[in-house]
Amino acid sequence: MSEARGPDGEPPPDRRATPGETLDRETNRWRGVNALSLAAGALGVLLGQPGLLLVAVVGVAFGAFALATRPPDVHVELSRELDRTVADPDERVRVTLTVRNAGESLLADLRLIDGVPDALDVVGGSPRTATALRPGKAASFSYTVRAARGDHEFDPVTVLARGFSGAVERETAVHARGDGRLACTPRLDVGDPLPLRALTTGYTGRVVTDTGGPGTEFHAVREYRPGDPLSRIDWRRAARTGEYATLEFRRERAATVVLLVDTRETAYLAPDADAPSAVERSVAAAGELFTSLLSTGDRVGLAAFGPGAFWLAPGAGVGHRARARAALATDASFAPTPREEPFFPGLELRRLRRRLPADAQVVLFSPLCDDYVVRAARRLDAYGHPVTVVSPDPTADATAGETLARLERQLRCSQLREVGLRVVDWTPGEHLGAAVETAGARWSG
Amino acid sequence: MTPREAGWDRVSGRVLFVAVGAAAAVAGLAVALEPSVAAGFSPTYVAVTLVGGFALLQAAGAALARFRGERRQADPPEVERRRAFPTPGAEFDERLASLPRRIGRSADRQRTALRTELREVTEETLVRYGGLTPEEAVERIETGTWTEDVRAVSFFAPGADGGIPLTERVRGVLGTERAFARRARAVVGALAAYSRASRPTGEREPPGGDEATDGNRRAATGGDE
Repeated sequence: MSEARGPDGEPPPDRRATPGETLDRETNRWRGVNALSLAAGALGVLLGQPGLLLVAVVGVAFGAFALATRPPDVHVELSRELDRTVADPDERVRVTLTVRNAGESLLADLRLIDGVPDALDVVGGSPRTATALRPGKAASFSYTVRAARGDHEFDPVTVLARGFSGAVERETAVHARGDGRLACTPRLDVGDPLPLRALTTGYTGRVVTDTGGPGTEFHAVREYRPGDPLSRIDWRRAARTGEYATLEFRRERAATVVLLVDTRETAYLAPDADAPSAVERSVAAAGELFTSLLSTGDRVGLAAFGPGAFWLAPGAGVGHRARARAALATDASFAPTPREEPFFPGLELRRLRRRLPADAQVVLFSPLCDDYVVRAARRLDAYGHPVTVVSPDPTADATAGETLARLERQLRCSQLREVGLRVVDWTPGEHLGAAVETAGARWSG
Repeated sequence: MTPREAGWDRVSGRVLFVAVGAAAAVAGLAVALEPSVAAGFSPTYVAVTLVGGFALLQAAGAALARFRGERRQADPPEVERRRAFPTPGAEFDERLASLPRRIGRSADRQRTALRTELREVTEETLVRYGGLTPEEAVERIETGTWTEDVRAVSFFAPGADGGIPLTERVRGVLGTERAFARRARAVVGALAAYSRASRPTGEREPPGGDEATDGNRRAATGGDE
């Protein structure tokens, strides 16, 4: 058991105890009583009033009691129960926490605050309670959270205990037994297709190339060569002129696409407190695009540009889709709150380059709120992996700083477009398909 | 002194006080029950007054400590709401609001950093949205001809603040916000207006989409063979 104190000998109010640690804070709540007792005693002595002296004795007795009491010994056992540990997005999940006094002494003033995961909202009841427990007795309380994407781990329960006098408050943290996780895996909806860049594989797909061959869109007519399929011979011309010619169509090829989600701490941004973060929107968009690209025959991979550096090599098939769904929902790399781990972007960018297949193009999801990601996108593009940026806009314009940040982001979009990258500027509340269509009008213009 | 030693000191001090108090209470009780115990001990008025005065001083000290010292208790976080994420630009607002009012090296450094940052954005905005060359942009900023907002102009060209009306200057002296911060905000406002009025030039996204979605086929510029 350790003691942690600030410069004034007390732990600061916002410092939380870790499991096994004890923080004691003197509440100073008896100081006023002490002052009044001393004043009454002094006046009683000076004025010769025995009544006042008697009042002082009562006050001093209370003050002495408060001063002499020690912080309570907190030995509690906690267990948590969730009515389901796997939930759909927005589903209500009831959490019941039971506390039992496992110590020898009475806990006269016990307060508990459950460690609700950062990404969950409490929508019913309260994750706090206050109670008094005799040894061996238990109490329970419950509250409801709204499930959101991710694999959420409950933090330890903060336990605050005071004795009868309330002069000292003891804080400790206790892990609750039982359910400690809530997983929420959204379904992968098929989204609107995103126009791809011109790097394709040898497989047939939906990306129309400038190369003639089998296909559906007319490309050119050329001289007949022995071996050309009969179905592609221009029979009308043959009937008219007696010469054989072969119709050429634009070849349709499949592409290899890697969806790269910017999950650095600097990407966890939102225009206001209630809005989803840019990473949350990016992950949702990546899920939609993953499914739509798979359904059109492209090979799709998934990667995170942030701590953890998740990597799923491009592939196809039902199993691949399931792996991507699980990763986007619950992998720590795509967590709904930033991971507190060091991240070395230069190193990760080099590793990503080594992993990318030669024929892969990249769709980067990033709010574009710093310069590094712009350089990274340009480098990937320069190395022969055409980059399309889907950028969820997390900026606002209520203050000068916010307006400046919005302007800087627009300039970054402009820089990327200038060097030939495609940028989909996706404003909050807008459907991704609409944003792609707006951006597509620019590309086709 | 380590925190643990400090804790021990406080505990032993308390024990001492409680012991002295308890001894005094026992002695008082003994005198009350058997007055002969206090034979030969006759408190004069001066001694009583001294005790009273000492108690009054202690009371004043305790009252002062009560009013000065805050009630201490844990301040646990609001776990009911999910974590809110920062909005881009909050840090700039914070820097602008926390500029020291005093003149000094630290304040100068902070101002220079803000000015450099704003100047870079202004130059780039003029180049991208105004279609100017970088040299033209620099010239416009230095001559104060990039906007009609005199406060924004004077942020980069201090000699150009002659156009600021007197009432504005008086407010600048009397107001809580420094002229620097107000002018910086004016620059951001002018830039926002500039970017709203026109579209960036020089953008060349690859023309001709490559996708072959139904009813929307477009040609790619390359492909593998």
